[in-house]
Amino acid sequence: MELEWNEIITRGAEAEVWKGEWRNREMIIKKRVKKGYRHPKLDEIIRKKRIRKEAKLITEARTLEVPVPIIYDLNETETLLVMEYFQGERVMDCIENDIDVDLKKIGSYIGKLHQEGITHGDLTTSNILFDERTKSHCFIDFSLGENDSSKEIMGVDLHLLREALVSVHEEPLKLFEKVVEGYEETCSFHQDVMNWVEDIERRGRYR
Amino acid sequence: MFTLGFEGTAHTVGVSVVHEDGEVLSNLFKTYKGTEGIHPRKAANHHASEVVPLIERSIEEADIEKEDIALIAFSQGPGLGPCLRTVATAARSLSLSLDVPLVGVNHCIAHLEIGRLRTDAENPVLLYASGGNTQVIAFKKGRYRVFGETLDIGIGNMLDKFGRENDMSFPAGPLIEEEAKKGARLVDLPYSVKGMDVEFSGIMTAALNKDDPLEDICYSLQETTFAMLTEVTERALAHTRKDEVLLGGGVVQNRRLQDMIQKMTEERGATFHVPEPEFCVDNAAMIAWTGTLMHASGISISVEDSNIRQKFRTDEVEVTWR
Repeated sequence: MELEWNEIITRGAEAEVWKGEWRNREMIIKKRVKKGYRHPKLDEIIRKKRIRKEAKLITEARTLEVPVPIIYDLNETETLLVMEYFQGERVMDCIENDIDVDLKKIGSYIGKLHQEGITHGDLTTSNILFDERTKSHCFIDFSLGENDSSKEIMGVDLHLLREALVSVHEEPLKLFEKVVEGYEETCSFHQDVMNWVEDIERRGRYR
Repeated sequence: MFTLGFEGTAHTVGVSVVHEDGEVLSNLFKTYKGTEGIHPRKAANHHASEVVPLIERSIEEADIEKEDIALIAFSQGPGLGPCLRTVATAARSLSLSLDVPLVGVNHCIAHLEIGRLRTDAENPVLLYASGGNTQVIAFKKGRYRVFGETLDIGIGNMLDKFGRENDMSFPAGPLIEEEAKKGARLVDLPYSVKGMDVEFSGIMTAALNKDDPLEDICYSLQETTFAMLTEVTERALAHTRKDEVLLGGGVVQNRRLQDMIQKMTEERGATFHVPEPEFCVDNAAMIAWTGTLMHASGISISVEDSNIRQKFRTDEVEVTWR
């Protein structure tokens, strides 16, 4: 398809994210770049596996009505994904700039995913976007996620989100409580998962 | 003003004299060498018998008098209880007998501060990889935050355990590095990155169960685990939007790990910093220097409050000196 690569938006750890155009529509092009530091064989396995996983999980999340970008194309050879453009800020930046993010809502979306066995795998505040004008959210980057996840892996999801809040925000626990509040509404086995969260915290070094 | 620093979190006991302007006048250490890793009590006994001669030699080498010492800094944690206690006792006694203030230093933070002193790094992401510790640390909002860390064992600990099962002596890291140079074939091992965290114990088990030639397993073990470390370091760079990487800890002596991190920083347009080897491994100069910074910002502790903290977390410390 005729794809125009207009400007690079971010250079993440694994991928270049470009703003582009396709049939007069704004698109996001996510290109997983070769990592020169990694063994070429290992690098290829990881990039292919992750892009495939990402497309699959985003599609599944969409059927659960969890806000994710629409996927327009997946090219495994070039390891690139073409997705709907979502105008919003990282939740991390929103919280820092005192923009009112709906953490309870975020928690309820995570609960929906977990209820169906889907985990995100890198659930930090950089991977959830928020559009202040429309008050809508968007979950991105599912490449470390899994379907058919164990409750322990779901616990890791929540643990990562809590860590992400702790590492940047001043009152992290209050924020996390809101997430849990929403989570409890949509995940029927939330207590089991929360037990795992505690277990993972304990297992972590120096706690 | 001179600071006398004490390091004693694990197998190394060290004593160092550092001037307040950052000059390291002496940085001496002795390392306990067990045949099968670190026996905490035996290591503590080793430290007890070595610490007094180290104090004397360190002061002598710095060419100062005991009376010139204006501050005592010691490693308060994290680490092995018996080792920490032994070395802290020496620090407290000296603080009382010289009648100078005492400062308790977080060992992980000291690795970052000595790197900032010895290299051009100003506001880096630190990859701290040693026997007991594997953390990715950076400064954000008044604290050194842990952005990623091992969810089970330290990378060095993993290498040592793997080495022990393969009849290598302790520490096994350098021997695995030599063996890996002979290997060239990538053996399939789990690649375990969870967000910005990593896990090593499953990889070790998988590596121990392989029948491939040892050199190929060593090669693959390094390729896999070091790529994981490099990946989480890069993730922390992207997440915090910083552009300097600093290395610290014994495992970063490994050339392959350094090459990977360097390559990653080049590809991203970030800078790469490694202190001299004596400041990468556990050393007392980093404790003395961090103690100096802390004290200059008004921190000291009384002997009563100077209990060691085996599980002292990096992000507990309010960074008043930056």
